[in-house]
Amino acid sequence: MNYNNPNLLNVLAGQYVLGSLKGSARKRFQRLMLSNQKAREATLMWEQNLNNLANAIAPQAPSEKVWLRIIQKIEHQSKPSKTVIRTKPSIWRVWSLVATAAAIVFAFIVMQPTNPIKDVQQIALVQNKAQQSLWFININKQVFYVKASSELVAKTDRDYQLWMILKDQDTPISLGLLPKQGHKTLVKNIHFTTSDITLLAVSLEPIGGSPSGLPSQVLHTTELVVL
Amino acid sequence: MEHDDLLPYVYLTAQGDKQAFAKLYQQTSGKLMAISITMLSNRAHAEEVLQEAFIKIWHNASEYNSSKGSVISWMISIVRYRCLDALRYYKVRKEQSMVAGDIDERNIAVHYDENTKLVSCIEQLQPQQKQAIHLAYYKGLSHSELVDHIDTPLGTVKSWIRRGLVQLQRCLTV
Repeated sequence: MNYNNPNLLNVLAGQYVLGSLKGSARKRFQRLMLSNQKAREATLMWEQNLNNLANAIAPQAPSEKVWLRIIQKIEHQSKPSKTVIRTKPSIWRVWSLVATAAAIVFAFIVMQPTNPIKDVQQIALVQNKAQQSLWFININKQVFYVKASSELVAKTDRDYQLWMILKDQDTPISLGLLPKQGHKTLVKNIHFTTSDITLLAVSLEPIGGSPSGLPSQVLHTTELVVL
Repeated sequence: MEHDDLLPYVYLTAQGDKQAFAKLYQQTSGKLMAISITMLSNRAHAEEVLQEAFIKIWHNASEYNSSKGSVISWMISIVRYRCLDALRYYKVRKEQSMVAGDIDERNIAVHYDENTKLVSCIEQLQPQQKQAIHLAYYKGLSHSELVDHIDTPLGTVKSWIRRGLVQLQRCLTV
């Protein structure tokens, strides 16, 4: 599919916003938005225009308990508990996750971080196209513990930045610069839970990180694996 | 509801101001609830989605900036994308109220009060294009669900949506 074709990009973005784009096609477009500024702009354009359709529906007051529950949650919980939407995984997806988990566990055993963090909930492995492990990411409630692999050949005149895509959101959020060697701890924003993350991405950036607040060139993407 | 009316509330919400957040809720919850209930056809699920969306808005208010469009459009997108997730989840669980076969477009109370450019452009679409876009936007129907609902081949449904969007964009940018 030629994503440089602006007409195709506009139609895909329109279908994404409408909701008619589903399943793997929807995921592919979400991934595309990570690296393609024009895809993000087209999506925003359609959101701005199509969301005016909502003006045609008569407002309906929610029951009072909705507001009470919202207030209760934001006052008594540092992190909101969310309904995790799960779809039936396909056999290929299950196989892919099992294979990725096996690779990550192997990497975990081989790499052995010097300051292992207890209470591990999720992990991720960033690999290049040749399946070489580049970064091992270990996530617990407070931090992302990132360890650069010895296989990583990092550019000295550029930095590598880690991003996340949250459920229901199109704009990538920066998690910080990745280590080119050794390990680094990135502090996690307490306002989201790891179950909100649909994708992690690594971009190549000028020294100091993205000047625009968005990924300049996405090199790798990976999903989190729940242990 | 103008963009500028909601901006101060979002700004203060981002600072942790619960009164401003309450004002934001008062001003927008009716519209957002209407979207949620129209898409999900189930009041309890619609309220659950609305609740989750506002908790997200509370936590993410600091990430809003004008490059994300108007405040209300940003909030509508949060609610709609949550609804789409919920639709997928409940359809997998085969909950009856979420089955596309129950949908009748006549039940979508669409009344264009405002004479906006979008309304004018929508009205210029062919009836089938308009129906397909309405069902996708208001009910979150995928291409394959539209096939079942309108009883039309997949290629035709995709073509209606694609041509409808191209025509809409052309009209909106004139």
